[in-house]
Amino acid sequence: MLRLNRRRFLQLAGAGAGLAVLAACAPAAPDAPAVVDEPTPVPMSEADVAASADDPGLMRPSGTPKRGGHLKTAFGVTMASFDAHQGGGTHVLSHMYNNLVRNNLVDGLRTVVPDLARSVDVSDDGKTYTFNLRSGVKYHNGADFTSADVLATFNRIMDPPQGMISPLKAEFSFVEDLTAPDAGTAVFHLSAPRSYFLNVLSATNAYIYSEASLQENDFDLRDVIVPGTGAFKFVEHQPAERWLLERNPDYWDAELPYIDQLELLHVPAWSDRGTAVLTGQADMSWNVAFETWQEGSARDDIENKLLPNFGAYWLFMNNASGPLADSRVRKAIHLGVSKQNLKAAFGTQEVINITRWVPQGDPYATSPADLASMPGYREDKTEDIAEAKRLLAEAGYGENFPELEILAASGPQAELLAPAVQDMLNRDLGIPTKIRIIERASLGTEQQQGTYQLMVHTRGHGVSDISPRGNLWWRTGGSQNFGGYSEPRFDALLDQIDDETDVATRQGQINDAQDVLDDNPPEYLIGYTYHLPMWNSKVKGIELHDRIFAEWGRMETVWIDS
Amino acid sequence: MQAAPNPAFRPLTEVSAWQRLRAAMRRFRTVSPLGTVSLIAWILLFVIAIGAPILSPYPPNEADYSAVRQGPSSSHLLGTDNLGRDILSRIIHGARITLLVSVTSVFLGDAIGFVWGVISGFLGRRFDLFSQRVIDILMSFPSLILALMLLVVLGAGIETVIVAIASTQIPAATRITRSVVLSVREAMYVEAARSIGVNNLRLMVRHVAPQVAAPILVVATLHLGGAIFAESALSFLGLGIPPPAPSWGNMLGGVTAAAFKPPWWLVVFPGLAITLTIMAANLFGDALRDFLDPKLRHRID
Amino acid sequence: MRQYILQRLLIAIPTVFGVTVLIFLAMRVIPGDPLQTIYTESTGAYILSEEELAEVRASLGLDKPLWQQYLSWMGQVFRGEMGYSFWTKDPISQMILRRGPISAQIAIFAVVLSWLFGVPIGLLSAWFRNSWADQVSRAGITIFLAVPSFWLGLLIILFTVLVLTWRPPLTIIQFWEDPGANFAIVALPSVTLGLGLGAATARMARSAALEALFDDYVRTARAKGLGNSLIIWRHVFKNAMLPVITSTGLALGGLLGGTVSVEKAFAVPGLGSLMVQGMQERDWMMIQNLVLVYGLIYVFVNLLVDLSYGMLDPRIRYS
Repeated sequence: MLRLNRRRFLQLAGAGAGLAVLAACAPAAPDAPAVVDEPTPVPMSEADVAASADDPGLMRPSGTPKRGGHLKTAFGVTMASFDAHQGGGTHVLSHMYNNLVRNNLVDGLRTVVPDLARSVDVSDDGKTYTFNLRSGVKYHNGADFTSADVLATFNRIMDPPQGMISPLKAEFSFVEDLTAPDAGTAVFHLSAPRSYFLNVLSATNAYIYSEASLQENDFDLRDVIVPGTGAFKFVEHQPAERWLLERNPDYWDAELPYIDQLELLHVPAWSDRGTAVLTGQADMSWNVAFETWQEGSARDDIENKLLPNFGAYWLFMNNASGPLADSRVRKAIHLGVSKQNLKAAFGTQEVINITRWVPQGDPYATSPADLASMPGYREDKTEDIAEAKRLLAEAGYGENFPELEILAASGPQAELLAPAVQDMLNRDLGIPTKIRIIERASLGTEQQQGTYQLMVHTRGHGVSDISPRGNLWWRTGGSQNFGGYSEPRFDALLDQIDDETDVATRQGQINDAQDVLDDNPPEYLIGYTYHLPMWNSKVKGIELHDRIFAEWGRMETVWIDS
Repeated sequence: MQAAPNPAFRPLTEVSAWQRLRAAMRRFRTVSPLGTVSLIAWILLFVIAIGAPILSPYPPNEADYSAVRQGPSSSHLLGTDNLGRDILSRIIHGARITLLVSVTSVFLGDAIGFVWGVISGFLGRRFDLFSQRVIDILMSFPSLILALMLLVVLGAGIETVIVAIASTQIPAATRITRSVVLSVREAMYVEAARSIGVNNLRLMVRHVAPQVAAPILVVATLHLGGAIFAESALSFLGLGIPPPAPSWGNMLGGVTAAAFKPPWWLVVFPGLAITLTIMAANLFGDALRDFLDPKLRHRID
Repeated sequence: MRQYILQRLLIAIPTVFGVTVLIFLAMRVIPGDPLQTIYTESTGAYILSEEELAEVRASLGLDKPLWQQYLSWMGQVFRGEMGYSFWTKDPISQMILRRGPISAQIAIFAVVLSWLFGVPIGLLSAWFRNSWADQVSRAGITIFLAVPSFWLGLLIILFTVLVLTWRPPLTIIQFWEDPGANFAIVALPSVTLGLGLGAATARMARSAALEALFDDYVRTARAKGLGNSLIIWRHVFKNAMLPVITSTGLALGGLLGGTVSVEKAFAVPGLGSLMVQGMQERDWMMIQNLVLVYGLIYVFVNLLVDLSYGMLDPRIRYS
């Protein structure tokens, strides 16, 4: 057995970065896209911290935190459910709860640190995870936290009761068994090693509910806000307006939190969030419009940062029939359509992060430097377009390419992305298209029914690792492989990637898999996005400027420098 | 069987239609100089719309990613938008959409209202009572909200926008037509025609409908401005003509609501085009009303 | 009078019934399924199977026959509940109560402003007809009748942002919570709508005043040597008010529609912006209730306008 100390946590963190909430964001508009700074590569710190098992908490912000104050945030805080495991808005709710393990707030999310678990032991075969739980942790209603709560929480996710839809179920498909030898221990037995397992558990939506709360509410928490163990307690919720939370005086980490009240204002539009921070109506926002973000750069009292996010814009292709069934046509589009142009076109809305299939922020991502000279990704399109035309001619579409239909959701995707794609397909590749705009609500249906040819749409996944994504999206018969993509070479590589735990070997496999996707593209990747947090300089303690990816949620180490 | 002559509409001496039109134009010019100017503005708009491919310096949907959101310059007289498309070219091509949508929807809506109003007013009784209740229901929605609701159901598109706007015109057109028909129905010559056995259909088509033609023409012209406004507002709200079509309302949609400091040329020019066109439509409508029948004013207002 | 009110109310009942049926049916034929999208987006990736979708529908009562759904909606409306937004699960009646006052303030202020501007300008324009002041005000009327309200709003926003570098607060602040901040939210949208409405009012006031000025009794009054201000006040103003109220009543539909687009232009958290958002997201539970609210307000205010004629013009008989 291997006892995980901080260093081992660091390495695991390196094996697959954590989760970012895919917020359904309203459109906004900043200025022409600027040069964005490269995401910081994930460091493998050698610091071997002897974290004692009884350590009250590992997260201590730098500087001299001051106590007290009222912090206001601005972003979208409405949600269809209060149940974190049934689509609840955990960027709001997670403040009131704890996970077993979590991404470290004070080192820019570079490591996974213990939360309700004091420590975790991983067996040598990587298939057994033993969590040693904290003692003396209490829920807001005074009840004690025990391993029964862990069991109840994850059993409900993995084996949902009748009538519950459990979106997280697929992420735990490799967990064979979950046991609690005693009140202070919980053990996960995996069917095969999964190097990103702790990342799944550190996601903001993998927090723990008490068994009692689940039972009292018939295992359905969509309409109730049940007590958690978290640093903040629920005070008030005004629909579509704001949430008010207050400091939990009995938090198990006696040092935290520093602020007295946390107010989450509902500001759905990106530009309005930026305006709110700029005008002092809010102290921080997780994601603002680029133009307001730039405005913040010019201000002394405002700070900001670009953070890689794990949601992307795609041009989905239906592989089932027509010209797009020919991999040469798909590759021609992959090569010929300029991501740089699309980034410019969408610059008023979101900052697009030009990446390969694995997003920046994930440790296995291809570096921007390598991408800069890679066909299909490089700025200079001359060779790529020539090759694309050759491929089209080879496929028998030299001239007279039949007209294709692009589906797009109304709003900025239809106003900016679809026309830009249409314009480039037509001008550079001679592919005529017609845009059909439908409501966002209809895109999913069209996708599932396979009644589309090309579709501009978003798609993301909480975990940046290619393994869960590849299995859903690109594996033959994958449950969200709506385009009907099938590539035996990719499927074989994915089998290896799933089980591999050695970082270097896995890196090689993932590179190969990405090469296969470049050679026979399932769809066109427009690009992942950056999130653009902006905050007043007096907001300290959550090291937003040092984060390596975007995560919306808990912030109990925050303090206000007044 | 020959219908009784209509004294109100029979000219004393037979002159050609062309001569009559020219005489009317001359009279219109002297009576209403402002109306003439607005009529010329509308004719100009038609010329621009038809000649758009020749007149516009760039194709309306051609993006230039290296010239995004640039202010007015010699190469782009009115600047470029978020995709580097030429604003002037888009406004010129937008005239096509504005004209197509406004004229078609007004024609459609007022034609339906006209027919409905004639039948309803002439037949009276149950059909009229029922029609009045249906019109009441349609009139219980502010017109923009009725159009929005219809568009949610029908989906965005030029055809559906036309249908939605036309639907909002129907109630008023029906009401006005009906009120004119009610006053004509009992007129002597209708009574005379009825007494010699002219059937209902013929009565409506030959004797009643022509009397309503002038008012409905004026109503239609006055509706034109409203239709242009409705199209631009629906597109501005993102539920009208789908992009990338260069509708003037589209060009304004999401420009400021989405930006902290929006580029002024994206806001000013398309709005100016909408305003001037509506103004021309309003002025022409007023002038036509005063010209055709000053007494109409009360009934229509 | 009482009989007339009763009669008007009786006519309003089938109308309102028809309105609810029309809205209800329209919402059931909307293409696209919001339920699917809500689950997909709120969970990041999850896509419902057919069975799961059916289960969600059943939990919302959408598997029942149409007439049952209609009756349960009507029952809700009478109880003052309006269901929950599909997207946010927020109670719709509560959102209407929070946002309604802001939209109502904008509409009422716009009407008040339109009278404050419109009536004096119209009267003076008529009194000094064909003077330069008349020409200027007629030109202004022509312009503001044509300017789309949302564009005027955009221009005003552009000015305040670029020149004054100021934007109104974005959150909902009610008058009784903070009058100053509340005023900052509603002031500019009200002015925007008030200008267009004021132009219509001024036009109507002008033509009504012109007619009154040439009426016999005004000539008589002048002949008797009554002072100008008294003539304006006692005869012209009073006679001009009836058409002004009529025109305001007729303009109410435009005003309510106008608040929707102007709220969007100013990013005001009112009912209209809520409705447009609901429409864009196909949140028809939201749409059907908000459209109903607008419809009911419109019917009710029209009723008030009709009845107010009686107060102002004794010549109108109710029979």
